[in-house]
Amino acid sequence: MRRLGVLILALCLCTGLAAQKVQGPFSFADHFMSTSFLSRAGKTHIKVDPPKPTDFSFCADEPSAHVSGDMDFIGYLLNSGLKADALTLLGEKAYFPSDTLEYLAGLALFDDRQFEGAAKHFSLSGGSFAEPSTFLGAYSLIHTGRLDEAEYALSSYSGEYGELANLQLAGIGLIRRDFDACRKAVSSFTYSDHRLAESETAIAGLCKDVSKRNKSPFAAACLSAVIPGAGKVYAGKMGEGVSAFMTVVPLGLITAEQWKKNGPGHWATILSGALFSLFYIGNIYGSYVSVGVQEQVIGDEVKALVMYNLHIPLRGYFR
Amino acid sequence: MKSRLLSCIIFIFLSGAISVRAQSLALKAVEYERLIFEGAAPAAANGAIISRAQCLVELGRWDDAEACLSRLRMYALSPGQREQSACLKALCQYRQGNYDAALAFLNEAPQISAPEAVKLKALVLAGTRRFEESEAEARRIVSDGRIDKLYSGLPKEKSAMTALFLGIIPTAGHLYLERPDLWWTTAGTVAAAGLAVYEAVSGNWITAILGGGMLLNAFYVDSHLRPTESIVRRYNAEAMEKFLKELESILDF
Repeated sequence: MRRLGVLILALCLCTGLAAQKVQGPFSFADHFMSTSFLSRAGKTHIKVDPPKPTDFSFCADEPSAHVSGDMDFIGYLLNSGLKADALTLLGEKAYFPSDTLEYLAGLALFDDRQFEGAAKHFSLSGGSFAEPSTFLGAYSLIHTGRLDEAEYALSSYSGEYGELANLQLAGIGLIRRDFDACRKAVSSFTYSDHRLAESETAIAGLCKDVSKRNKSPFAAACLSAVIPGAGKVYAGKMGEGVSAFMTVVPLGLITAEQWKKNGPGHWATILSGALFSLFYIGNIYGSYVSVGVQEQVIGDEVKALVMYNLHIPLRGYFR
Repeated sequence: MKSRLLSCIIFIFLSGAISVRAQSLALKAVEYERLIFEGAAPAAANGAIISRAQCLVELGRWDDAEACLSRLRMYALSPGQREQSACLKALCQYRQGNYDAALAFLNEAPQISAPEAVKLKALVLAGTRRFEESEAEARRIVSDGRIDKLYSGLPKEKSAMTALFLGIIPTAGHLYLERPDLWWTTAGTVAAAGLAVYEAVSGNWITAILGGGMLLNAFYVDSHLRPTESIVRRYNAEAMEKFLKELESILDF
């Protein structure tokens, strides 16, 4: 009987190890509980859509036209949401190179969420488009994760839109979770410009909120050890917590019943005990890991809110 | 009347210029948009919108074509343009799988006379499962044995409710769904029922209720009940798609 029990436990371990995308039987057990019907209860998390890959390039033919002649039409295309048409025109018509061309290409790519390309073209634009290019370019760099470059461009800016630069720097601090840098930028907000005030309030509020949110994986594990699923609820995953509770507790009760009626050496007791142990430890492991995963989810939500609040003033100032 | 004629002449001239000037379909579509931007008269604007929509349809940009056609000035459309625009709108909906909407657009046209329009109507009627009418339309284009053969084997429509009820009987549910690969859900359901009965007879009520319940939930609810509707929907969509593809090749659409 004992050999049979050991064999069953070994089978569980092997099944867990063989399961795709998971390492170890306990993470398999946690994955099983986390993907059940009950675990999907609760809110959906907002996330920033990844930027589109850039496949834009200028026409290689001999230039034959100035883009300033089509500026009104391109502006009309962008304002009407016909960004694909704007990109077609800019990419297939042979315009003479100019700051205007680079700026319009950057703008069309920006509208089409091709931020990598937008950052490149904004960096090549200058003259009367230098200021909008700096801020739209910085936003594009933040979106693509190039925070250092964005920070450098904004820190070295010394024009009339200093407060807008501070707003973007505060956003960078938040995304990096560098709350000191964020607070330093927030301290220079004046809230006097109506185009910035709402975004400044939102960013300052986020800076205050997020810096307080720090959950402990160890605490989550201990809570789940005492009450199965409690650690997941502490980590912010109510559905998964309930699912874990509804899996581990019944298995515990079944094991207790089998032990009482058939004794510890009976195959049914060993089997149910093995399953209970697997899911109980999986629940503790899952709670420990959930805190890290939930931090990632919170990070994604914060980034989505930051990007939204950085985008609004840009439309107010430069569009 | 004179101003409309003049607008049409200007539009024809500009269209010719666009054909010579534009290097790609996408650029052609942009140049037609430029005509609208430059304030063409309603009749000429309608011509530009329809031409632009045709370019977008050829590029496979159904949403953009539909949005473009919604800008038509209906009061300035000729009967020919009315049929053309209705067919284009219907085509956009058909390509996106919205057969009911496609039929509604086709019904807006005063008449369906062009061969391509008749073919589209046959396809759309088939998509909405009005097979008799679809066959009648298809026979206006092709009337050989291929049509008889195709319409004698119409795509079956499965019902999610039937699949759910049959699922209670081991193997019946997924045989109805033509998914014998889901045999393991039946095996699990039978095992769960067997365990519950055995443990209940042995007097282990907690194991019977909780253990049997957990297994039933895993093998019947999670693995059979929940995916059934999506399996049925996918089956019906694939069967219809196969039928329409065959009809398209017969009609040369």
